[in-house]
Amino acid sequence: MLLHRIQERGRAPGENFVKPVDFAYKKARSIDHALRLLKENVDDAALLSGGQSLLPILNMRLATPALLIDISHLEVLRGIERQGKFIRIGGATRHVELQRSPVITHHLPLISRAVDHIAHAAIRNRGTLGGNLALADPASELPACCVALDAKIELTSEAGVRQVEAREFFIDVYETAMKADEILTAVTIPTTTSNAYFSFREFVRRQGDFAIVGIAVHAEVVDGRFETLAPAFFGVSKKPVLAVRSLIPILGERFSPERIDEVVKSLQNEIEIFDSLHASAGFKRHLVKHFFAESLKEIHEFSEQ
Amino acid sequence: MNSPNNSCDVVVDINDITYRRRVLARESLADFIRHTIGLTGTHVGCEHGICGACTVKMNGMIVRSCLVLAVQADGQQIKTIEGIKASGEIDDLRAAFHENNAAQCGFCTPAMLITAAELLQNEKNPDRQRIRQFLSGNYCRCTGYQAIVDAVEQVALERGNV
Repeated sequence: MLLHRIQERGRAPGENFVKPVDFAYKKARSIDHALRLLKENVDDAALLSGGQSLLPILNMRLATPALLIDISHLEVLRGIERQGKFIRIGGATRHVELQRSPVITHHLPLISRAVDHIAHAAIRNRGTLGGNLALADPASELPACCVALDAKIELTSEAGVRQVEAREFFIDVYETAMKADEILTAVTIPTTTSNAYFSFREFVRRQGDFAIVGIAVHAEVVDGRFETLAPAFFGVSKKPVLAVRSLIPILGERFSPERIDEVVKSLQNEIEIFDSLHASAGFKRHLVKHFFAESLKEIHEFSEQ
Repeated sequence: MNSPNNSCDVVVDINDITYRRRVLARESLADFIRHTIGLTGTHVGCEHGICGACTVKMNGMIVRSCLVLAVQADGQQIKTIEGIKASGEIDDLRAAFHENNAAQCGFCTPAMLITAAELLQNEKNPDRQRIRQFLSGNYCRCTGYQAIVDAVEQVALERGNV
């Protein structure tokens, strides 16, 4: 939403501290109010939710909006609710609320496991799901979980509400399918079936850091066979990536270490892996293969119990 | 440049004192606490949520005050290290930091105390690994953490024995 307007900005002489540029602040009274403000200032506004991704970006002057529209206090954007075969999570729901929610623990254990890896308690007390997804850091945990779990992202503008598949939502580094006049109002995730299994792993330099490489896997195993398999990798590429093509040899098949080896070899052709500050693409490739093999082994072992 | 239109009136409760002030929209809660209120126990390190030195409590929950705008604290209750110290709640933790040499330059210490206090308030018997995990959001560039973990572990055991 914001980051397509993010600009690299040189620092003026004397500007040697970490403060955002001058901006106006408006606390939205309702979603309608927020949408109106957004529309009136469409080229120059940013939505403020938990601020745990946005404020670092502003402090480093990677973005220079003229107006912040605060939506974090809007109760209607918060909450975790079961609706039939889906769990609906409000966009301004905080990470700590996901972490403590019995609904999430029971119905979306993958999210539960991932949240423990998101930053630190002080950040989880403020950061929100919507902000996390909208700012779309490619090394972030929840975007990958939403991709693995085939979530739908609810985007609201004055023109109405639209649903975008999480698998279509992420476009590039910090870039999503969100338009500048939209608010990420909710995320809808299918509840897991009794055949569902999960695995979540990440490699970090420090507990709570963004992942160097991570994997979130959702699988359905029926009679020992992988009926569905959705491994989403994060930290490796410009956005969370779902492996699809490489999985063909094991879909509908029983677990076999030889077949997994075959998949692991083709994974590196399917997934584009980039160097980053802390790790070379070669090292990341190694982690991708290792995490994938370990995750499938874990899921197989659980499903045999 | 700051436009006068970009400031807002706030009423903030800090350590049980109510302050009415006009703040710039872009001002962080950390800068507000330090420069406007004059409470300098809250430290400003990285200003992007990595180092943890600016940790304070907002409505009872620990937050990074560099990643909260002062204007967002309007109507909220803030506790800084000064207020938490005055409450007497962390006297044992402060003593243990002293005894174990868990502070060297002292820059990380206030936030380290607040974070450790939060852990000990929520969990009765954290082991060393859990202590390290919970404090992982607070950087210390002097001690190598060993003495800090010692101090927190000591208090966890002492409190468990009461």
